[in-house]
Amino acid sequence: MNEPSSPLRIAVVGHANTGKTSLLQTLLRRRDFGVVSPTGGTTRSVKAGEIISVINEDETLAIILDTPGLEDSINLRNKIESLRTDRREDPRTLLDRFLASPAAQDSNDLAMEASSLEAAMQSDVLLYAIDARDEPQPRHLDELAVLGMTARPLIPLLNFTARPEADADSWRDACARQGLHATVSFDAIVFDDAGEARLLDAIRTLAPAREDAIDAWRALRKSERADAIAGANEIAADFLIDAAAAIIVTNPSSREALAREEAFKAATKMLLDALREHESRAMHRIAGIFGFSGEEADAALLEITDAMGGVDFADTASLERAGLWAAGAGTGLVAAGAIVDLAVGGISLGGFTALGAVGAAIGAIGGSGPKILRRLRGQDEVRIGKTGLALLELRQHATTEAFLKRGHAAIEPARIEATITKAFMDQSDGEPEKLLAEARGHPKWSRLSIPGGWQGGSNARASLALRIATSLGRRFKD
Amino acid sequence: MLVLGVLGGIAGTSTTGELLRQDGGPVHAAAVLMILIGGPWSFILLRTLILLAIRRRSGPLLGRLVPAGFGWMINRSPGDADLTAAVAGRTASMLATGPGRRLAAVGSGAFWCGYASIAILTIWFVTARVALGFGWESSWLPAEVGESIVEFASGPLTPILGDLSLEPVAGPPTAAADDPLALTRRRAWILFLSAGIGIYLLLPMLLWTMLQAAVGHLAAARWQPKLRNRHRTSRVGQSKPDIAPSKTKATTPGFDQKTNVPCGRFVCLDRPGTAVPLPSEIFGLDDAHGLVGLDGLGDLDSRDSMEHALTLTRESGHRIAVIAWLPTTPDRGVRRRLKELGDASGVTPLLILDGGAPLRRRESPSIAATRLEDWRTLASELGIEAFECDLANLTETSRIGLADRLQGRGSPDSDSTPRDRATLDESFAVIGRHLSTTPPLPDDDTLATCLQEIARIHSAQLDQSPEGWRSWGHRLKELDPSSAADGLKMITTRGLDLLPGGIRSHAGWIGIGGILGAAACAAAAVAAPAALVSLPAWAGTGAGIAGILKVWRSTRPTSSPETPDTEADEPDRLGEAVLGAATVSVLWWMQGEDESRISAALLKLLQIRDSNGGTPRLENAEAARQWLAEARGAVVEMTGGDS
Repeated sequence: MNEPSSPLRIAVVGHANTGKTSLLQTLLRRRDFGVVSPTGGTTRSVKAGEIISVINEDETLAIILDTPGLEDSINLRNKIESLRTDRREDPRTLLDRFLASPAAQDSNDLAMEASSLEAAMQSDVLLYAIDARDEPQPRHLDELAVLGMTARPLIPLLNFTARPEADADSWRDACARQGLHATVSFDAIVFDDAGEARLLDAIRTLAPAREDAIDAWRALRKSERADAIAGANEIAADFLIDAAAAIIVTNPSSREALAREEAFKAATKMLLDALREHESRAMHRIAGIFGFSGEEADAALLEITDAMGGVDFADTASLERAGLWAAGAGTGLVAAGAIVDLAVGGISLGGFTALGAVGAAIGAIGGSGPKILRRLRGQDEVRIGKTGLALLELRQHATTEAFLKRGHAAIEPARIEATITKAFMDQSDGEPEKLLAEARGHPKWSRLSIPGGWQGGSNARASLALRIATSLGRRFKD
Repeated sequence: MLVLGVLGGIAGTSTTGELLRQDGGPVHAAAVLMILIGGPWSFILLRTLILLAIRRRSGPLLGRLVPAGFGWMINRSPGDADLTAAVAGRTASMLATGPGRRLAAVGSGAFWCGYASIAILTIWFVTARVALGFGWESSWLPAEVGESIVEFASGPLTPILGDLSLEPVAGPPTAAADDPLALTRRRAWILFLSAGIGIYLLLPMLLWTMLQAAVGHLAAARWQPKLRNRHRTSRVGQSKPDIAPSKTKATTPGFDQKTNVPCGRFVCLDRPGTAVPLPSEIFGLDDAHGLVGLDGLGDLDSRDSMEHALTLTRESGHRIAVIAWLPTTPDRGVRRRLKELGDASGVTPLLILDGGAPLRRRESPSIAATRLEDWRTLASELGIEAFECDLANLTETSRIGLADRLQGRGSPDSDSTPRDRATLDESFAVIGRHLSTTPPLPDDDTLATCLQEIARIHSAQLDQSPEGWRSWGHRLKELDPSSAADGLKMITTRGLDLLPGGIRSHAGWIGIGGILGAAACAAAAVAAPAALVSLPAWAGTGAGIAGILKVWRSTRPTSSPETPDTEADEPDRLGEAVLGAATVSVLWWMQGEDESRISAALLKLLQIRDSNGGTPRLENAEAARQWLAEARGAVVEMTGGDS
């Protein structure tokens, strides 16, 4: 076993094609680690991944070893047992003898199994990867028997547990019969924070001397998760402001109702197309925050699309024609004038009311001049409605949720129906929607507005984005 | 900003007023100037020094103040403290480095501008009402020092104010308020104080504030959410060189490769206990198919069972059938066991690849295809005969094929039965006929009748004996024919279990899923499981859980409490129905083909007229017939025929 000052060493061992490399990809949060293939025996040597400290990149918290699969465990156990000369012989001596034997050097025989055993013997903890969709079979017992000879603490790790075919209970029972009670479920494809935490807890229990490294690892993952959520929420907030503030002014060929309707439809299409593209870009950015890119991001986005059941924000109800007249403030002015008139007992002969009306008119013209002009030209303003905004916000939330639940080993879309459930709606406190209302009437805050769209941000916009991000963040719990 | 400016003004007026209050003695101008100007600058300098001191540890300047404020917020937050801290950290970071920092600087500038402006106004206001005396005497500042300060401070003001004669002047009654000399001297002191505050505090603050506002505006315009997480928390370490792959020995296998030898025994290779029991009529003593005494040697899953099987095989010399489980990986362990079995018997084993449906259910199409190919490659490399047969879904056809293989009668080359194109044409003709007789849209009954006819075409010679129903039939028989809708739902739900992962999310399948569900129902009623087993149709059926409800609702009587589906219009629904029926026809017609070819043909149907995986929009029966003609041509061409 290593000295406490050296990094914690963990070897991931198991049968071929049980997802050992996938587990490492997810534990390391790296898609670029190793090669995952449906063909068995892809990993042909021991490969190492390192968990590094946030504070000091030179400090390695843990080294995780990916090992070739124990493909021929029946033969392996046979060979090792055949080398026994004494019934009471120490299993480690047997293993050493096997590693020195010709079979352990022969790539046509058991060289790959030998390299796995060698890595296991040099590790602090072994993670025995199990494809929970398989049935426990005698060959697995052979593997466990051989790994037991390494005298290293072993944690059975149930992979692919999120699949309906998985039978975790059978495996727990089978492992318990072998005296292995610390079985942990951890799906490399459908990621679960709690699963990873349980795994680290199990390692901590079996390697108490390395608890500092495990604690640092846990803290690292916790802060990384929080940081990723915060980053994703910033991106989501930025996009949502763009959506909420977006206004496209129609450009009808004439003031005829038909022409106006056609122009309205064209502007609607333009807005929705731009929103879809913008949303896709935001989703890819969120993917980047979580360390996904390219095809993995697209696959995860497909999960979201599937989970949404084809729900599109771009329905008629989600669009609205903006009102063109702003009379709220003017009404107040007129009312104030009337109060003054009343207060002076009518001596002013309604002069203050008239004054208020004039002020209101000036205000209306000043504040809504462009709107009035558009009205006169027969133009409309198209913007995304409350329903659409609510759906967009939901989808942004779903995006972050999907990436939180996506292991870095996942290639194809997973099924995440649970992501989009009524619970989401129930969970919403409506705060982001209220905050988004503040973005209304600021077409220049949106990159999608036409004409006079994005002219750079402002302090108010940036501040609002961060408030929305914080609000979105409250929905994510440990 | 305004509030801060007002607050600064209040601070300025109170400070100045206090300094100009005469307690019997003259105002000490140097002290006033030092306090009014030196105070703010000292504060700013001190703040800068403190922030600079902590900067190295805690990041950008002003941003360090923000987390303190957020600390309070975090403590109050009921949510995830870590997350709130992370968001607060990012906010702080933005405020410290971006527009927020400038905003704070502008606020600070507004405060001091208000302070300086109101201080000047206060000086003028007070001196307009009170004839103040000015002098050098002070209880805490020596006269010489005060004089030097005034002289030093007035120097730079000379170009603006001219040569000021700053001489002490007494207040009333010593010097009368209207004494001209005193007036001149007092005015010089007032100008000196006002200009001093203006030049040394107000002007720089104003310029600084404007600069910060401009830079802040630009920074806000450039603000973007961060697109990268903090940094990598892992790295790929050093690896040992790969172990060279095992070279497949090109030598002749150590057994006879004759395939026309009957199998006398069989073993299972990693076949799970949860798999459907082996059919007793083949792997038992039943001679219904001419097989007698095919003894089982158990499972090859441990060294003991392996030894037992090898011993018995060597002794008997029988050819052995090995029932392998497709979902498992054909690794070196499998290879070795197969080879040893072959060597022991001296005759090539027959490798029966079972578990096709579980493989499809468990893996994506691409992985399933790879796994199949790996098994075929393994068999090929070992020189043994492989036969794909889903034992859980045996049909009469596959049963006969398996029996032939076990008796050494069949051969791998005799697999491909030429498809009769007439059956496809007949199926399509049935669809066309129903289009003519059921305007404008087919309802449940019509659809079922149509699909029943198609099923009959493709399964007319199928076995409907109790055995034939064994795998699929027993489920289908549970359906209550009197409730077509419930039947559709039930069969679709069950089909979901058989759904390959990759197809589940294919949009095109959703649209035709309902039709396939109906097809399954129809087939269950009249045909046989043989038409259904091992078919990707079931995948489509499962995928259609949404589609079936859609079609079902849209064709229900108006008395139904369900809300009519208004999303799909008639051309869409007609398209769905025709596409579904055509899909069923092609699926059944292509039975026995490689599954990848079947999938390709189905996808071809979905891509006709660039429908991009969606259902075609068929306006009327004539359009539907044209589409069917195109579909037929495309499928026949794809399968290598002459359309």
